[in-house]
Amino acid sequence: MTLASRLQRIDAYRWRLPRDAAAGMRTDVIVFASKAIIDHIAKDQSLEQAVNVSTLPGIVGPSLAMPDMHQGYGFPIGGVAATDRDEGVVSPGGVGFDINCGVRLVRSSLTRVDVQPRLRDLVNQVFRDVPCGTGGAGFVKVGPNDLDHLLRDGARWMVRHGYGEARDAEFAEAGGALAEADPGVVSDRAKERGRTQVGTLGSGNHFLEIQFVERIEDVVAARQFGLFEGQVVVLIHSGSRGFGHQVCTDYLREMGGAMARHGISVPDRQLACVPVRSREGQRYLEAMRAAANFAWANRQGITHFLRQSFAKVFGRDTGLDVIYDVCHNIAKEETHTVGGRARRVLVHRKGATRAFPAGHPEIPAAYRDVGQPVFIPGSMGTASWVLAGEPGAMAETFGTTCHGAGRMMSRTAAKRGRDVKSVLRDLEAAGIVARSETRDGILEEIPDAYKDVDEVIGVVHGAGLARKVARLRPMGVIKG
Amino acid sequence: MTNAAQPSFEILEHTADVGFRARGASVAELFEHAAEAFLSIAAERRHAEARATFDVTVDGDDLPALLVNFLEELLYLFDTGRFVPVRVQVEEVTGSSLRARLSGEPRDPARHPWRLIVKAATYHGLEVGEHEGRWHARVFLDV
Repeated sequence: MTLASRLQRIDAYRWRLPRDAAAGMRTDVIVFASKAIIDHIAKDQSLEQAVNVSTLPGIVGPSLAMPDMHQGYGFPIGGVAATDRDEGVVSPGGVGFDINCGVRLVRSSLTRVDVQPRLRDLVNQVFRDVPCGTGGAGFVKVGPNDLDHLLRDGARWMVRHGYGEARDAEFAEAGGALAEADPGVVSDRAKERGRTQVGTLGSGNHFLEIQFVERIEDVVAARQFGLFEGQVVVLIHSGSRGFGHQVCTDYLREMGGAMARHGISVPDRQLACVPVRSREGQRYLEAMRAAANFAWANRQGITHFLRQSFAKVFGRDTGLDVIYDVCHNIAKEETHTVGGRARRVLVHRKGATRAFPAGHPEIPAAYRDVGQPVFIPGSMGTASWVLAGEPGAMAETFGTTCHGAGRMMSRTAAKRGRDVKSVLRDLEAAGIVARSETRDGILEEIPDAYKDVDEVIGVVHGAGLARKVARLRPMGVIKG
Repeated sequence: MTNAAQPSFEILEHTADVGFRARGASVAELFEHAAEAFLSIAAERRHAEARATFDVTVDGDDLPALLVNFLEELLYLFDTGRFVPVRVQVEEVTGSSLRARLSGEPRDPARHPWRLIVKAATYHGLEVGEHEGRWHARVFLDV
């Protein structure tokens, strides 16, 4: 019997795969999805991967999957798992190769009408100032002795060294730097790769989009986030670049050997894990936090050069302020109420975004009455969403919601029968100017390759994980 | 020798990422073809010339780990600008170690950009095996 056939529908937004659906499961799998989305999910190996996650020692609560779920490496993309701080494991596969891949939204004082006549100049300028890193280094200068400080202080190091404003770091998850990061447990290779890559976007699904606020759904929250209809905003989607990739690679290798010593076996080598409390587990988490801080420094560097681009094109202050910055590939130690009691757990979010509700002390004071801002990029040329965390996320998903639209077409399939000129022409017809360092960068990210972002958002809104605040539409796209 | 009817490698599909299947008459040839497949996906080598050599040694617990670690080595050399290989010759391979000679040049990122930035070679769906005297491998890359 297939796993999909064992799925039980709980309600319009929830599905359960009971723990007796496959051997070795320690807990249920809960998938947040509509009927249309679950039909897509059943087509790849992501359900099997969510089942594999449910076998992890010390998992607390169900193995969770968000509606943007698709097949990943070890964990499904869109997978969430909490493990007990003392009895559970940490798995680098639950974070991914791009540690602290995340999204930052920057607002401006400009409107769509202000930007439209200069759009092509603006896109070209940003394309020059914010490199993708496919053919050279970033513009942020990091000396060999500086890197360890950057790895400890993340976005704050950048601000101290002239790449941004003090409030930028305050308006980032964890203040733009996780404590207990240790550059001493990071390999020389990771540092060598990372040093020249601060302030670069990367390729794949990473991008920078100039967008406008098409529609406000929650007037109060939008006001708190400084959003208004017709306003131009910039969405930055990037991560920890070669630095984070190398950290993950290094520790997957180390854990592969360490698992046997800890008496752990997993159904998929990519799910390698060790006890959170073990020396290897602690070292990985210290290195992972350094990579998370690298990613916040990276998005801060991109923000700095973005401000320069706007200043060059418009010749004046355009009020570029960071609204917030969220990570969607991370493992964080948090306190959650499980079965009526507070427990310290390690929440793995693999392609999933923290979504703390109003009142949570970790949200900046300015937003505490409305909930944490969450940004969900859709596919190139369609729409993105601003959400706010809801109490349902604390009750059901360890304070977590989705992270994107979710891919449903392979890169090869996306390129088949399409040429880049016609894709660019279609985008231009929709009023969107796109630039990419590579031809494939545009073709592989065509809107048809993704699920409908509105359908995904409808699920997390309907399930009470995060609520709609504003819908954003792209005007300019910069890609690797 | 590679059978003319069977290419030395082909590109595979994966929802989020990209992969390849490689073949060879020996483990050494298989690894050479896997390296070729990986580089054809990741690296723009039109302007790269075989004007220098670079020797690499890699180890791993078993053949799959050895293959992942070998591709990771090429990724590291390319990403840091140390080397862009034009040709890869596997000189010695055992179940747990490998020695290869790369012919190419130090990478100039402007002339040898990434075609597609690869984050990692993964263990997802990884296969290395032998069938009727021919070796084959399947690898997925996180991009």
